[in-house]
Amino acid sequence: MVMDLRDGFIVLDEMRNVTIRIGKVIEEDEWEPMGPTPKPHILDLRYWDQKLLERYEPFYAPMQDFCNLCTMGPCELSHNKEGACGIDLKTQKARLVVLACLIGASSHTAHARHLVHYLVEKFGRDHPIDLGNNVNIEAPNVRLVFGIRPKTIGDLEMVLDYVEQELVRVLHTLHTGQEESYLDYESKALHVGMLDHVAMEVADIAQVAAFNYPKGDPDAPLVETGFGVLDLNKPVILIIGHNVLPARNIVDYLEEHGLEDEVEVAGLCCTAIDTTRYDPKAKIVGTLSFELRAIRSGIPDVVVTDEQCIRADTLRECSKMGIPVIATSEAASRGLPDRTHENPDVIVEDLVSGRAKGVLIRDPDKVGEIAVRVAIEVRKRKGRKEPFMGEEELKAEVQKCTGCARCVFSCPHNLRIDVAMQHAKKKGDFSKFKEIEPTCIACGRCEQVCPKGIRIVDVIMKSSLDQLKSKTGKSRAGRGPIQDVEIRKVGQPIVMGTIPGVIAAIGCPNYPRAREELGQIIEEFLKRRYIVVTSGCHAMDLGMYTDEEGKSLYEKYPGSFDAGGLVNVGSCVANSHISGAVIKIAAIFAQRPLRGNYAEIADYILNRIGAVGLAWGAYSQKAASIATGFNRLGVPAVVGPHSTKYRRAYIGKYWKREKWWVYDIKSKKKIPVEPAPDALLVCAETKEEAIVQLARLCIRPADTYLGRQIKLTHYIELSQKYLGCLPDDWHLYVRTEADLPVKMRDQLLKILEDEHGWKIDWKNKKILEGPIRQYDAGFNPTLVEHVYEKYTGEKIIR
Amino acid sequence: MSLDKAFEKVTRIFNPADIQASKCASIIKPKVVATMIKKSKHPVLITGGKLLEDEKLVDFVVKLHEKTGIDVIATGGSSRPLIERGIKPIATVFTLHYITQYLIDLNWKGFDGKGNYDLAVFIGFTTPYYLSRMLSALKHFSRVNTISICEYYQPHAKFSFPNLNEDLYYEALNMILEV
Repeated sequence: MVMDLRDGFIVLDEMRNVTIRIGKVIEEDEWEPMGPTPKPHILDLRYWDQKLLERYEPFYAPMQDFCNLCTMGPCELSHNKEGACGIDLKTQKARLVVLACLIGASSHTAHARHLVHYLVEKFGRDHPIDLGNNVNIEAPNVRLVFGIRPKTIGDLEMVLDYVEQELVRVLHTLHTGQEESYLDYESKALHVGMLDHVAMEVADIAQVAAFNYPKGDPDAPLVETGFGVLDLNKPVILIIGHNVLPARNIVDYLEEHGLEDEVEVAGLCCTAIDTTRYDPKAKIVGTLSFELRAIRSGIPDVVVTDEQCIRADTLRECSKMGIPVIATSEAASRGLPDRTHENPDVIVEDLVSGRAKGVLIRDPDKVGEIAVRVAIEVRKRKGRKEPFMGEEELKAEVQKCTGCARCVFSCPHNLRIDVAMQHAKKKGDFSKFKEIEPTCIACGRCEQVCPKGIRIVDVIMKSSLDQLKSKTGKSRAGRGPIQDVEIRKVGQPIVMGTIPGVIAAIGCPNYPRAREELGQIIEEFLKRRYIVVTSGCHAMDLGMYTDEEGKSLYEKYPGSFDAGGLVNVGSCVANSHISGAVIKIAAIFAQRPLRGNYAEIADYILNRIGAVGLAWGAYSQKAASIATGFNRLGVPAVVGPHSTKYRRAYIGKYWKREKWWVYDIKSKKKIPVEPAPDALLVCAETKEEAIVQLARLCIRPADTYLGRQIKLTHYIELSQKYLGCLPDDWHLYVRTEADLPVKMRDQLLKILEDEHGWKIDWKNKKILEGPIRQYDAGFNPTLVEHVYEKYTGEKIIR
Repeated sequence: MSLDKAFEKVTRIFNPADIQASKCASIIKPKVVATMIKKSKHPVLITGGKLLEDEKLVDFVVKLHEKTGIDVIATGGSSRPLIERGIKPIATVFTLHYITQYLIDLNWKGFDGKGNYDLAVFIGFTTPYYLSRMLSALKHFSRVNTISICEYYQPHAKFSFPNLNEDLYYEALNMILEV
């Protein structure tokens, strides 16, 4: 008899008061044997973390040397002193890093939960997760960590149940007086980072499946991007944040009422990206650093906010400009009255008349009508104002400056606003503000400290208005997952090293210098035929980086996951497709089992896949969590200098030879290896330095000689171009003469002999002695004992 | 304002919010910087990316190296202009982040194999907040003496120049060379 199991109850007639409750029935076909760590708890992957932390020693740069989280304090912890609870400074910093990662991962998890909850209500639990014919591994992070193949949106609920439970458990560990070792807190941060990628994946595959976004399409549409792309003759709805639901409803309302050509829908931050995935006619204004620019310009007729990266003064700023605000999220309700259940006619009239500065509408399905009607009415009533301020006002503002430089000291970039002000005041020349504008993140801290109350941001922007308006370009709409067929094509060349690396430009817009530097970094790697993937704010800013003909990188390079391709996966939550791609390389090319098999896959990635993240302007806690998740998976990241304020990095020491070893499954020996990569998270100060570090960190122990030769060629060329010399450590990565760049082979052999004492057979141009290890084509490295035992059949005596 | 007065004036932290409970850097005069380099057993000068855009800083580093023989660790791409001027930095590819991590390790032998450095002098960083974080790490977790001779006062160094305007700053650098 085949029993059809369903959720519900079974009452046994013969046994009084006995009811068997059947909860969730998980129907899993045997697609893959379960690995050792499905649904890992906090300590289940600690052994893997310890491997990483042994090599990549945590580095702490305290922002404060005190702790004030409990009432025994505040405690002064300088020079690694212990506080009243016994915690020392290092461990306290590690604890704060965990907290930052928890904030980041919780943001994505709450976002995912909101989406899945909404989609289950709208489409039902059985709505299939169909990411197109070319994406069979639909959820690599979920498979790897949770151990299921989700088939429907309903399946994602239990994945989120697990993530939420784990996040709460980790949060609990931050209570006063618990962990004694910073390494244990680091293991928790890595755990949270891993969970974050699972939550992001849930969010993105749910919205791709339900809203019919591009499904791994390399030719996803190009969308207009930049401050100057808005048609100012139309009412403008500006949507800010990360959760697409209200924006989608606005687009639907416009279409249902035939208004799609009458109203401009534009976005800031990740909502912008996800709106263009839903409707490519929508426009991207820019990143978070464009929020104050956009509001102060007075261009929007209504502002709709959802969640995450939105300024906390949005309502105040909009109110000054007479722009009504519609808040839609529990995370940012802005002190506004909840009018979700009121008559839309009354709400619209209140907002248009100015009786209400803003409203909270919690139901995304009600936002569309109100936002569109308000935008149209406001545009009818308001006159045209000059953006930011008039010319006379500009001159008057500049005259107030006394040159006290408080603005400079409060500026996150220490921009010399005082010099620009004095130059304009004395000479009537406002050009120095144009030099400041591309670096200014428009945070407004300068205005908070100016004793004369100068509207400094407005002065900078008004002086740079032509520059701002000319900021137009095209981004490719986020394509979502990488196709399995693409992985099949590039898996081997990536692992062999003949595609020199995958550069993942992800994160926020808090760049150390002008935005253009990001484009310059990325173009260097596209020209060298690395694979470049991008997401979020970096993806938008790349759309504004144009050549003399006005073409952006998206128009010059294909959108395929292949050498020389530029792939925009989508918004923040689409970062999971980047981690997903490296996981899929292990699964598809190397046929490694994914299911509940985290350590083996991360170990494979660390030793073989030359992928490196670039977070040139990371500012948010989400970026901390995303990067930490990549780190646990064996993917290093280069970050911009602001990211040192996250307090922690993972930096190995190449000179500690005892730390650089692997088990070789082929020779069945523990052998020394080159320090590749030698850091999991490290900061670069300038674009020149970042470029060299990215090439350097693509080197992996398992590179073939041809792959190593290609990687070393790029590394050496870039070092010579930007640092003016050979890199200090190139010799560490040489195993055989075949590793050396062909054009430089003789010269480099001579240096190896003269400066490093290597023995060279000059007749045959062969290295006889010197390298850390000999090259072996069958080299099969692992750091994990159970992986070694699995593939050799031999036990390691521990 | 004269240079002497600038060094006596109470100075501001480059970011008023970068506050620590423990001691802030002592203001150091140019002559004392020169003396400390001279008296140090194993000093090193660490340069940053600002040298890519400021020829005067490159001049200063070249002259200081020639005059005192202090080794130069070039970070942020600052090696290129130095090499063009005939200086050979002892390290070029490691970022300030790496260098700080190494300096913290008591077992590091330095790039010359002579042991960890007892004095690290910092100059030419485009981003004071980055240097600030590294100095904070060195303050709490290392025994290295640190001097910042950048244009902004760096509270987490052991010794630092005060905030100086452009003219006074170059004047102060020249005074180091004159000793």
